[in-house]
Amino acid sequence: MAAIREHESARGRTIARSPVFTVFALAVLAILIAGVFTQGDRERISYLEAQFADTSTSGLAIVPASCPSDPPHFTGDTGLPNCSTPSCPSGFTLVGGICVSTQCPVGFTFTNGSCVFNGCPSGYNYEDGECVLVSCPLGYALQGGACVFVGCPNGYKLVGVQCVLDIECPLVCSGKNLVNSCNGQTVQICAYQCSSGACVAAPVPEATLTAQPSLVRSGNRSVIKWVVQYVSTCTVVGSNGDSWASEGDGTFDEESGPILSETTYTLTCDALNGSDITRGVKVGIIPTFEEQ
Amino acid sequence: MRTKSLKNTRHTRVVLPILAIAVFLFASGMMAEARRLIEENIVFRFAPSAERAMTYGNRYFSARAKNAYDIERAEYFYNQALVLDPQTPYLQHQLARIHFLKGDFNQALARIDLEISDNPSVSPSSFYVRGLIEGYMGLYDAAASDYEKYLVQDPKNWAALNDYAWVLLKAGRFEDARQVTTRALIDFPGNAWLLNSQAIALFELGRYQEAFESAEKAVPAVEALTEEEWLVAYPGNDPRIAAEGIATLRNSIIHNKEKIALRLSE
Repeated sequence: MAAIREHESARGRTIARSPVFTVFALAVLAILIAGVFTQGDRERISYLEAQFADTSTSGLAIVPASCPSDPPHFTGDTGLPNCSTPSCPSGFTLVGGICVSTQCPVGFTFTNGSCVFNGCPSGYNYEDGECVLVSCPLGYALQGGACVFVGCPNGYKLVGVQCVLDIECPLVCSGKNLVNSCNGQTVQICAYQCSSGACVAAPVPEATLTAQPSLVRSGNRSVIKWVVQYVSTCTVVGSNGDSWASEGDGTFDEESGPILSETTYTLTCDALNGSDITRGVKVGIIPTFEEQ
Repeated sequence: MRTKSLKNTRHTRVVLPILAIAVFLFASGMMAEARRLIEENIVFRFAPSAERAMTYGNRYFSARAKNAYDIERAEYFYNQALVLDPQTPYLQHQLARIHFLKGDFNQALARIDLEISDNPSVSPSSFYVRGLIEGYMGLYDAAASDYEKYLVQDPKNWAALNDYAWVLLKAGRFEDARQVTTRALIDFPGNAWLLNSQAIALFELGRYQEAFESAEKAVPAVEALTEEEWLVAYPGNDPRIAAEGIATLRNSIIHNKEKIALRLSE
């Protein structure tokens, strides 16, 4: 291998030193220098056309152009030149003679001929170099990867492309209903009550469950009484199979069925504030004693 | 042994600096220039063809080739193509344009006639060039006829419409010229050439107020004209004389406006 390398190296040196190579190198250099240094020396040549202005019958100056004189660039080309001033279609701008898109992706702005990232807008996440839509603004629904307008909710109006709170149509109370004052549409039904155009949060619910008497002789009955406040519905279920229901606040009572053994009654209510409330009471049996 | 060593040293002294300079020129961004020179001086010499000659000629004959424009070199290559294959498409067309630019209208007309008669796929541009040459020669009816042939293919070309209006004006067909410019201005309302030609047509028709209005619009239009736009309008000219061309148009428009204003004040 070393012998081969030595041989090739020696061959290279021989070529480099040959007069033919010197002449070739000189020729290349001469061409380069001649070309480079003669290019800038050409005189500006002004032909007739640049100075030509014809005269009309009354002596006014007519100036023809010559744009369509360029021939086709290849056989079969229509040969019809574009004589319009170089310009770009809408959404593009001319940069260095090339039409570059000014329609940048979301989160990018067109700056100095290119799209520069300047942060994703609300509802978008930056993933793999682009802003990806993850949620839509009010009044829009995400459909097929894009936000599609589906209509502004009640109390909102469309301004441009955004749903904004319709401050000219305040919400008013109508009983427990929250109503748009412009179109009369119910915006919301308040769970507890409506006051000054807004739903008022319900207080903490209250409930008591009692049995009178709480001790009965086997086979007798008791009166089950429940008092509830700030609830929507309640049920009372006894372990002996009794069950009753009530709606809203108030005092309610029911006579039990025959009580044959200790019986547990359970009150369960749905409270207006969204919570559940549970109470319980037992009705016992009076023991009987037999004399021996 | 001693003699050979000295010879080798002398070769090295000559070759290495040459190569160093060559490498420097290449590295200085002159690769394209070097390629062009090698193609035209070496490749073309060893493998000449009309097609190659046309390509090289076209390199130098375009107002958009800012640094390369060289009409003499273009003519040299077109003449080479003429020797190699006189039937080369658009060769006579290009030579006609060069003769036209140099003011040799008879030669230009002969060349463009050859192009039109011999090229089986004659370009509408060839009729346009013949119209241009005939217009400069004062053959206005013939010029109008050739412009019409071009406009059949490209009816909304503002430059062709403007030049058609020019020969119509010269032929005394003022109303036709007015109609042509009015039609063209629908698509190119801010075109300085068209506004100027329309002002002249209106003036020749005695509609001085309208002529003045058109000339008045032409002034800001020509003031806004860029060299790039001028070069689009005159693609065969040296790009370095664009300012001179704009000055010709501007002076014509101002002259016309003043003359029309003078007539209005009488």
